[in-house]
Amino acid sequence: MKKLLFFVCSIFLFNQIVIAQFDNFNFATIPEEVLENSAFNLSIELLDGEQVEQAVLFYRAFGTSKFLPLDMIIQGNRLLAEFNKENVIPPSIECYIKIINSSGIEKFYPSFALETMNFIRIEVRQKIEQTGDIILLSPSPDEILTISEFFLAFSVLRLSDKVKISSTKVFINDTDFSSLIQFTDDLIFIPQGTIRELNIGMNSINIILFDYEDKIINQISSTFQIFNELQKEELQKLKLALNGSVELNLANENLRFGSTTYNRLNVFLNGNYGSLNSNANIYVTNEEKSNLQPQNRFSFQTYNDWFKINIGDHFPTYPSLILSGKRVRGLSSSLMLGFFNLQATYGEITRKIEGELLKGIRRDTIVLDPNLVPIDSLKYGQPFGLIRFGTYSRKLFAVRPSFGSGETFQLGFTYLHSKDDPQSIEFSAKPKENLVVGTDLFIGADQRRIQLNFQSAFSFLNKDIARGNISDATLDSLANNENLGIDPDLLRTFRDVLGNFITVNQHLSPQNPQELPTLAAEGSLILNYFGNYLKGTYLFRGNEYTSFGQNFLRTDIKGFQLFDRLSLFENRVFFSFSYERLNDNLQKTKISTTSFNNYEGSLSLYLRRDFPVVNFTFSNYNTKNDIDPNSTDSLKLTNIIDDNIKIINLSTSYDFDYYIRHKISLSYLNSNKKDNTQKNFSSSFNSFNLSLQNLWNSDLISFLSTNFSNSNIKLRELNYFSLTLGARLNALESKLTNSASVTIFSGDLKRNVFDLSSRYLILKNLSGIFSLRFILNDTNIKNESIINFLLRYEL
Amino acid sequence: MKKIYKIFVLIGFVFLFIGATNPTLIYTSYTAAIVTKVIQDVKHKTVDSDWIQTKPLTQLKSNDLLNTGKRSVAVLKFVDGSILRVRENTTIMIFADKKEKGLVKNTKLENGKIVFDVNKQIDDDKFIITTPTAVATIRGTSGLVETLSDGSTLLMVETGIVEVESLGDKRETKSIEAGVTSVINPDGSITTNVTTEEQRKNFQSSNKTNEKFIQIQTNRGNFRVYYLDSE
Repeated sequence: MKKLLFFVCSIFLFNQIVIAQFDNFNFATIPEEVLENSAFNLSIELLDGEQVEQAVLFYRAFGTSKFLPLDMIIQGNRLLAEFNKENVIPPSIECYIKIINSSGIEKFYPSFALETMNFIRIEVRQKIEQTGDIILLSPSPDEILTISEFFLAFSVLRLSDKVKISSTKVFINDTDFSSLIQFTDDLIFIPQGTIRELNIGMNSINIILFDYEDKIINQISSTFQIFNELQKEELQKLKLALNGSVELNLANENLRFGSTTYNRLNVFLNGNYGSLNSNANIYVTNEEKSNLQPQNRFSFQTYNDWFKINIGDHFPTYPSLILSGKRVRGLSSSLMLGFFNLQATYGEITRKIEGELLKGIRRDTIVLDPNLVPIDSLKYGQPFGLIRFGTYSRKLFAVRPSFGSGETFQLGFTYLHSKDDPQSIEFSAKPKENLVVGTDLFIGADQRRIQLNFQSAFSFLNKDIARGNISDATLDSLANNENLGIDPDLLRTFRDVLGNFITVNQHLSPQNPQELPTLAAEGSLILNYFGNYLKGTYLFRGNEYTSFGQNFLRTDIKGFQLFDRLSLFENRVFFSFSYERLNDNLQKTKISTTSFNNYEGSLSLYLRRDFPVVNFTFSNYNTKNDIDPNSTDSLKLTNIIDDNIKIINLSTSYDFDYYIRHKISLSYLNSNKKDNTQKNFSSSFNSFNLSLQNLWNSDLISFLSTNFSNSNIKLRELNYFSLTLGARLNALESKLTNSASVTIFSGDLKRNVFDLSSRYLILKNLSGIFSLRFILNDTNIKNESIINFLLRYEL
Repeated sequence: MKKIYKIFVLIGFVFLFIGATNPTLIYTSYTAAIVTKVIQDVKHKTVDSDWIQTKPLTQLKSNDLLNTGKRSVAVLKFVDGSILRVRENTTIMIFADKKEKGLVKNTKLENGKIVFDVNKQIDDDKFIITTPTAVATIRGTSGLVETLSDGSTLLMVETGIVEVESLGDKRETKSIEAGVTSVINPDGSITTNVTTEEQRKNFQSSNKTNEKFIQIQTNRGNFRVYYLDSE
């Protein structure tokens, strides 16, 4: 299968989402606009028939070269990642996905992402302060209003000298109500009882301001809900307000590697009683198998202002060095009193998967094999066996008391203990145990314009607890060896004290604690003054630091990062710059030390709402180790690293009117990796994308997208061109939405993709979605199809 | 005739002078806020009118008074988007002064309790709350101001920082940070303490302006008990 790397198209399926194909099969779905410090979900659809057992999203914010891991939720061929708001930093987030399929093979998406630096790129927009905007005073998005109570009021305080009030346009649900507006000073309003043509349910407002030359100077869109009197009364009653949805999803994928059918049921319930909020989620799929980690998901959460309880599958958040982004099946609770807070978690992070006895081995025919283990000879007839290793059940307990609300101060202490259960399965070896203790501190001053963050953690890892604590006899025999100079009493005391927390034997690390190999620490200082956001970070992570609550942390690294973002011209122009200098080999365990010198610059222009948005980013990554290229040592020469990667990314989008409303987007990406060693792993990648969306009216949208892509990996070149044409049409008073698109490829990739999608609102709270993707492949490859049916019932 | 003309011109100048120096007259025309929510008995009074019942979208201009009765609440939104929740048995007076680059808002709290959620103040913007014993200048923050029965003022800051100046003889100025509650005494002294759990609950309950009810069914009919919940 040819692996190609490119962004193809932006298909606007239902208003809220953008679907972008990021390689020759797979699609990423992100919100149309991602704003800084706002949480969002990224959904990846893998359509090349992979049976995913584990999926991890690696992402990095602008200014850092390290990718941070995030466990993804697997729903069939769909992988979901939830970005916490603190990780959403302008101007962009880059990410790729690592999956482990049912055969235990690792794969990356986009393919060759690490080689070509072509990642899934998510543009993050800075939140522009409301200083120059229309200030909407009423209605609020969360207000409970009836038609007779509705009134519109907004202020043009910040624009009063520029705005021609008589030209102001107000659209509600795309109907022009501009003739009804009245104004006093900077206040513009439409009185109560004037507008009766509102929908029960969701409504939209669009306000456009013009200057004295009748040019648009500002516009905002917002939504609000209208209820009838009965609904309002129900909402006002103190009773268990329950809502939710039930989704039944049936899918069949007939791909070149085989055919798979998915049946999934997803029930989501949300309720509140007074200030107590609860939600529950049940996800059941036919992909659940005992030889895989759990695919089904069950979760229940209840919370109010000062406590929170999670039961079932959930992702507890502790300091990032210790426990973050890890799925736990169990219980978490938090008590948030402000001056004192307590957070605790207990549950299973790895489900047991029984291994398999492949062959019994007689004592006299023992061979050296890592898969050879002692087995129960009474049960299996032989004392040893060659086995396929299973996976032990692994449980985790974490607790974090903290002091201070976190507004200006918080000091926390975290304890994490995690252990494999050796009794959980029969065929495996080397059960492990992990203990981590850590502390974290936050100080914020001057309205959090100054922020100091610090966290550190120290870990212990026992790589084999099968035989328990070290025995007195072994300790004594060690003490008898005078060359070792061991005091047995000291060791015994050490074992007895530390043994209360973790199994102490010869497999316990660190064994050289004085060199701090299991210490991880990082601190950052943020100064945010005069539109200038400056952040400096220092980090240190020893090569043996391990936390079972954070599997993918990059260890054996130390150095600093600097990031500066300057906002100019009333937050219309943003300039960002970052520099990072890191190096590994902290405990001199490698044959060479590698240095990472990286810098990035970015310019973002949001000049006016009716001007194009422009983003330009330049990145330079230098990686070099201290091996002399003239060395005669072949081992050293094999490990030599000296490469440079340069990435240029330019993107722009523009909304304009030409008979109808249009949205045009252009993007160009160029990355060049130059390998200065004899290995010559140089590569390059170019992609140019143009997409145009036409809004004919509220019921019809058409779109066109083209992409040219060129990649060169190890002198192997791949070129292709693609063109996507499509449309979305609402019919039957928006009860029926149909979408269709066709993507035609030419060049080294020969395939055409047809997409059809139809959503029908059967009842007010019952809808059905049918979608079909048909892939017409080159003559030598079987054609493929994906059929999906979703029935959704809203409670 | 000329004399009469001169007298009119003189009177005109006098009015102009008064207009230029009397803040009350300067402020009269500008619409500073609207009332977005009214629960139970809320009245307002303009310079020219008597007390009249307040409805949603009532516009409040400089020198207008607003009064809430027993178990009554009003929510005000200023034209810069800042929110004021006026609790029961409270009287406030609104002032606003439009500057070239901003708006100065001054809310005089005669008696009672208000909860503020003030947007970021830029350029010439100012958000001031004046009580009989204190002047609090607020820049993008939230909290509560209450006049107490002994004449002192309680100021609780939930987020951000408030500059407060006392008006008594001891005249002090202090910056009150988030999580701190201060009492500004009639003698001008200011005492500050970390906000207690009880005070925090008081703030949370004062922030509730969403009217809900419990319906009790009896054989003599249905009764409703109304209460306020978070927005």
